[in-house]
Amino acid sequence: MRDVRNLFPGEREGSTEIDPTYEDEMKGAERNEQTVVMRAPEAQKEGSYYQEMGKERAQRASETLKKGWGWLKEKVSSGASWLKGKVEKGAYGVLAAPELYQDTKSEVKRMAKEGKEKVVDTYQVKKAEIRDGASRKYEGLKEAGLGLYERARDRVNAAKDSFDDFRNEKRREKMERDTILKKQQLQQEMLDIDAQKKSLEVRSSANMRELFEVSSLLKDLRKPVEKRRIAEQKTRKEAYSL
Amino acid sequence: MSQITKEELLNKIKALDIEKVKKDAILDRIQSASEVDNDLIDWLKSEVQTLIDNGFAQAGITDDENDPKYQAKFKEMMSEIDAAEDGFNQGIKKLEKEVDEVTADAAEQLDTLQAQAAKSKLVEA
Repeated sequence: MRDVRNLFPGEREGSTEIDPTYEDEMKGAERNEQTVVMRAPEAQKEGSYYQEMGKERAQRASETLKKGWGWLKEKVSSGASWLKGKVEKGAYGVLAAPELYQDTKSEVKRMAKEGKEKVVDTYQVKKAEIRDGASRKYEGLKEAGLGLYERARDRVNAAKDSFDDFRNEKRREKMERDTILKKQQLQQEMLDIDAQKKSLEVRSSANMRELFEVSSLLKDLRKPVEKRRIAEQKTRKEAYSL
Repeated sequence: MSQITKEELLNKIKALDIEKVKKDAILDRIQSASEVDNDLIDWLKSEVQTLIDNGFAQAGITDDENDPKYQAKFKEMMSEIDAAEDGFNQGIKKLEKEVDEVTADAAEQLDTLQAQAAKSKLVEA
């Protein structure tokens, strides 16, 4: 698998020049491709999901998910730009003969209108026609390149959208289940807290103190009764002894 | 693709309950765009997805990467991306070939024309 972000490494922003190292870079990319093919079986031995996919691919996937999809856009736009550069280089390279470059069809027609028929020879008109024809074809190819970019971009975005929708839906379901569980836990915890709160309230309430006081008071109140009971026993003992 | 005006898009973002700094950055990006085109939508979609991902992460909800359905969906996405990439590369190769053909054809026509011109001059002389 090529590192797509470096597919057109020779392309420089704002430039239509083709980097002469492009071919070398491409060869390098092919070498990388071979390296990945060699790595894949090794990765499969380890058995995890990502490793089965091949380390390079997994890394790319991970980076893709992390960084977003700028790389593809960069790739396809630089590809389209590279094509444009190639086309323009071709146009100027092949059709840049000085006399041909000057005599555009419109220029020839203007000269004809001015009555300079002698200047307008058949060959010049034909040259202009060849140049215009080639230019139109180049323009068509540039448009086709942009079309390729847009189709690739839309296709990738659709794939990403579909995957995101799936992930979002799964995580939303998981969150709903998790939320219900958490609510139940929270409700139970709140019940426990209520019980503890109640316990604390009871422990620290004035009512308890009052109850202690009443209890103590009652205990005190019981003392005469106790004395009376002892007195009663004493009386009975005396009676038996008679 | 359904249509939306820049104003409508701005209002949708303004209505979101998100961090102010982030919201301002998104609003600035929309404001600076000349029109609501696919590039802007793609960028915005990616930003919103990042917010969704962060939201799930903060809630402690993660992807279940061991789920066979997740793995299948992931593979499906990567296959589609690979196919798109291959399609693009093949298309570019074809275009390259066509460019070379147009170039060669134009060069040949020019050579023929120049040869005819030279021949005509010789005949005139």
